[in-house]
Amino acid sequence: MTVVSTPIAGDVFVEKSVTCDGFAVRYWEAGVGEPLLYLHGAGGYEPRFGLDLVSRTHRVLALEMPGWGLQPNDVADFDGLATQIGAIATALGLDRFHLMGTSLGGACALHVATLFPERIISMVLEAPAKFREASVNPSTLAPEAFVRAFRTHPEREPRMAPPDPVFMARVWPTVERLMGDGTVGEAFESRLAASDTRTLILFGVDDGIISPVNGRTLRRLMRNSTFQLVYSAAHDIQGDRPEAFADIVSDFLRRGMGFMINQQDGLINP
Amino acid sequence: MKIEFYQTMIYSGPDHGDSWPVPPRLSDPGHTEATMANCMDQCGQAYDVGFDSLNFAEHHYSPKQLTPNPIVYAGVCGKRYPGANIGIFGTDLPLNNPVRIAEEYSMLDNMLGGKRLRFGLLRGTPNEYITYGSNPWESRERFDEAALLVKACFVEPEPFGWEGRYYRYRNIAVWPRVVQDPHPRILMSGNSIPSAVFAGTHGFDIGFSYMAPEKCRPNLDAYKAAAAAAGWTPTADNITYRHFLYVDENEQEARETFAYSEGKGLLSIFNGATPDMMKNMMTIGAALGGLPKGVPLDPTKAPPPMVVSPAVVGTPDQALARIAEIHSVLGMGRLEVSVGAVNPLPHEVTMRCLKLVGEELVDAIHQEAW
Repeated sequence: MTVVSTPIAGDVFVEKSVTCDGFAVRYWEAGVGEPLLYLHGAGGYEPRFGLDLVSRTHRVLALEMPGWGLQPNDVADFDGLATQIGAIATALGLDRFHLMGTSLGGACALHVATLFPERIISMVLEAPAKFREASVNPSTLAPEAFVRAFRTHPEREPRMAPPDPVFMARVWPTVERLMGDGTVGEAFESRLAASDTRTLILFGVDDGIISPVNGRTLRRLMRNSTFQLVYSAAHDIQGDRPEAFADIVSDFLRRGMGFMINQQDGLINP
Repeated sequence: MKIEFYQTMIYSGPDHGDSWPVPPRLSDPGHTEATMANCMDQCGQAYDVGFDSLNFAEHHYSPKQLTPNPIVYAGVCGKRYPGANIGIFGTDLPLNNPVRIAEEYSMLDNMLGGKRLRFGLLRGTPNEYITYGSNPWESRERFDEAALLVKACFVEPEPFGWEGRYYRYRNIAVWPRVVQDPHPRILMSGNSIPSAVFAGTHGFDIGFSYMAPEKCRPNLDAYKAAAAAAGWTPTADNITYRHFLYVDENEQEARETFAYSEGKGLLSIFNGATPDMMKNMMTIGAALGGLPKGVPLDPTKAPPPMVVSPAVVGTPDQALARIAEIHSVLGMGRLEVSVGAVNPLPHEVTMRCLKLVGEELVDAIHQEAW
């Protein structure tokens, strides 16, 4: 079992920046190995032990996506944002890389992977917000309900806090523009159906923001995907079950679909 | 020689998916209910026309066999046809808790009156290893240990413990105790030399499936040699050969119907598999074949694919001639056949075929009147 041992989430990461298309993009980097580009959710980059643990096996680069920093981003849609992400990856020197996205970042990752499939080694989607059947707009939730929707274990560090109103006022127009009304057209479904990207779809069983039923939709559309439900976790899987999150993500990144094959030694005594 | 009916229970619905595992959304309850009911009637037909046993097997996550736990269906079938012998060939032992398997077979043996049950303990096909997350590199050793543990569960009269290499139970006492003494006959696969030797060494029956009889022959010889070394002599009745069958009075009709059912063959369940899933199958297949964990796959060193023998297809006379050919090589005392192969045949077609087998083949097979 992987064990959390760092005292503060995100402590293992070093803040850096790169300039791309007029944006000064902050990112946080930790670990060595094959690169994993991480795209945060609507609330921006929030350190979690789960990602810290993944950095034990991979070089993790957690971006602050354009529009979530101090500069506004008037990009019209996810394809536009995905194109920016592709350019940032190039600026970071990443040719081929693993890609991971959380919630809104997961929706964006789907666009990146379908626009630049040749660059993606494999993809991890943590509660991706592309399909939103039976789902909830977090901006409509009262603070307590907000925390419950995100966390099965609100007591675990780092604690889940309701979003900073000033920050949200700045980014939410961008979020709403990108997310639209939740309709996913046939054209994008066709892109997903044509995709061969090796994809891990993770949903917390208790997710109160994006219903896990949307994982089924992605699994049905994406032939080379696997849909995994994480017990005792809500929308913020990294925060609820950091060790479990890191175990399955690192195993998938390392072994691809071979992660279905149990390698665990069952010998009790020779 | 005896002839046994292998009820594969292929889902009769229209959509079988194109890969493995097949999405459960394609399983229509109406078609599933009809499949299970029709297959039970087919078992009745086979019993009525003189088949010597009604047999089932464990497979998972696919419409090609709706029997992830064949023991459940076998129990119902055995009660529906009280005179029928029941065979389950078999249980995928490394996937399961061996004590639980012993308990289930003990229960079934009691339900069937203590004289009708035989069963097989098998290792399963590669895909089965990603059914419950079983380590394929441990398959051989786990199987061997689990098989002896199952046997111990049947014969130990007092509560006991098992301190194994892979299994540890500090307290076992299987109730109800099996009726057959010392236990129902147990069959193992003979499709590899190590399996055949293990079966012979420990007094188990042996079964071959689909392989060309000539390819089975060295394994059979190894089985007999191992049995002799262990102090016993298998008879023809200890040897089973499994294959597909389809007969019709009209040869062309028989061959066309079978060709439809055969489709693209035994491995067709992987027709639509992604390259990643096929790589998994190759990895597991190599592990089951003995390639150590961590050693990269080398396709140039892969064992040759199994040579599938021509099935028992044609007119009754042609079918009998084919059975005689197989028998001349293996001398088996039991022939186990499914009607058709991997694609479902209409219920009435299967019923008609079984009736024809009864009318034209069963007596001849029993009398070995080739």
